[in-house]
Amino acid sequence: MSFKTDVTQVLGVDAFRKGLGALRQTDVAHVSAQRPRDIAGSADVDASLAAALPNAARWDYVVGRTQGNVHQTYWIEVHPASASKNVDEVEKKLAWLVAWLRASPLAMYPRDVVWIASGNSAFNARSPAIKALAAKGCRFVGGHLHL
Amino acid sequence: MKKLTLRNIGQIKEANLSFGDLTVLVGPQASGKSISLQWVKLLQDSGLVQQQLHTYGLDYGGDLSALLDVYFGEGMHSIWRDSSEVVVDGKSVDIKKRIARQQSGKTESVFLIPAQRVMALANGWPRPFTDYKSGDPYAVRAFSENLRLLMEREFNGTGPLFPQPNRLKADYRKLLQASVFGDFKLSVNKVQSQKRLVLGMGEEALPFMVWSAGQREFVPLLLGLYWLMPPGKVSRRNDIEWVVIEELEMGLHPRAISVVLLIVLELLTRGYKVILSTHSPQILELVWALEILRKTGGKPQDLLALFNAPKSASLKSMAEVAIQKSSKVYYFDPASKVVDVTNLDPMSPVAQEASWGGLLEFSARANETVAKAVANSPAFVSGDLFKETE
Repeated sequence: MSFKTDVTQVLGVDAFRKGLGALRQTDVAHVSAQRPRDIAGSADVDASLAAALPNAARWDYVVGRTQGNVHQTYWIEVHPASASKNVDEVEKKLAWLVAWLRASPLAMYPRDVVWIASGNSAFNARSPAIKALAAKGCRFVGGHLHL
Repeated sequence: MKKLTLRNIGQIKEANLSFGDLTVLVGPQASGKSISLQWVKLLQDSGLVQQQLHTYGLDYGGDLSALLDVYFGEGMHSIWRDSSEVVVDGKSVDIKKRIARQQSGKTESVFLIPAQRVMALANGWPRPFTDYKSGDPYAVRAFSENLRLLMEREFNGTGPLFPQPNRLKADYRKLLQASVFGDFKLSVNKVQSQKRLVLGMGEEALPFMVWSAGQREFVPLLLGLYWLMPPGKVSRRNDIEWVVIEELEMGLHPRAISVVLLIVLELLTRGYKVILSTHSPQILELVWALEILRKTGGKPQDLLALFNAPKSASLKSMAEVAIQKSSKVYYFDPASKVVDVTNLDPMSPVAQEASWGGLLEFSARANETVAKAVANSPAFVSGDLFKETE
């Protein structure tokens, strides 16, 4: 199981970046890693598939992490969280991710699907919409994800 | 009093409290919230507390340690250490000196409804001050005594105590009936000449011990609210400026909490400053909404919508004033200083603020647990969860 090989296979040879290198500058500020050397790399899913799937509600990023023999993927969407319509938007992207992931070798990895708020948040952990999204497999972490 | 600092008192390392119109204290058990609230009372009403203790034969001999045992309760003298300090509006208070002499003011400016309020009606009737043991906290005894005076002076007639046309606005009464009392009426009856509070009338009346837990908790609170909102055109009780309510949510369903919070807004519009301690995220939801509505020019109807309350003229005028009131929220951290978390910003880098003083921690963990389990389940990859979205 190689995160780099699998990313390259489904997203193209240029998609893989070391560390959190695939995350845009504005987005990487929302993510930190306790042990950066455990980050197996990252890919900008959105940009990599823009040409092939221009009208799709594409997810933003995938980040790989390896601790010993344990491999893990983090599917990260950095998206506004200031209104209830944003939940619908993220849910649409999540549905796209699931459908796209099904045929991908990246589906073999244990995963954590995460929505990070890009700005102010109208939600907290008790918000029913956030709970409904969690029941579909995506957790809202507020403004920051600590890997 | 606009600002209070407590340093090295009991569990409190340092609490710098700037009071809003509404101030809310959150934090785990035994983090110093209740002690802080009782200090507000002691500092504001020193003369009254001293006089009351003297009247009822509680002699602390001018000694701080003895007073702390009598006032906060047995064994509580240990909260005060050599390094302890109280500062009010920037000025250090010499507590020992203040306690040693009877202070002049004897009016009550702080009305404290304690967490142990159910004790006040333990026998179905408000217990007098002297009915308690000397080691019982003053706050419980004083509250209980106020309820006794209320019953003695203002409820001598027949007819139910709740609902009562000249107590509380009709909208509040209807909401309380729906959320707390149902079809029951709160009344007084007698058993062998002994008065007692009952729910219902005549032979169907239910005594205190068979009420629901929420009703037992709520009735002393209701009587406290009666005390604060006298009948007629009088908006406030005598010299009371501050209302302190510990854990108003105790025993209550969220709908009932919502009604009580609406009445808390009523207290604010009557000019009281209100301090609450709580373990309920619902109360922080109110502060969060209230602060944002205030800062963004929200309308009274927005505030009423939060409570799903009727848009009556009376409630609209109440909401118009309440929406202008300022709030403060403090997190009592047992391991550190008290933190101002008023913004309640879920994006805050300050963990205590983002988690609303820990009240959202479990919700966040539940979301994380569920989301991870679902994301790694066969149902996720199969797409069954998203058929409608697709």
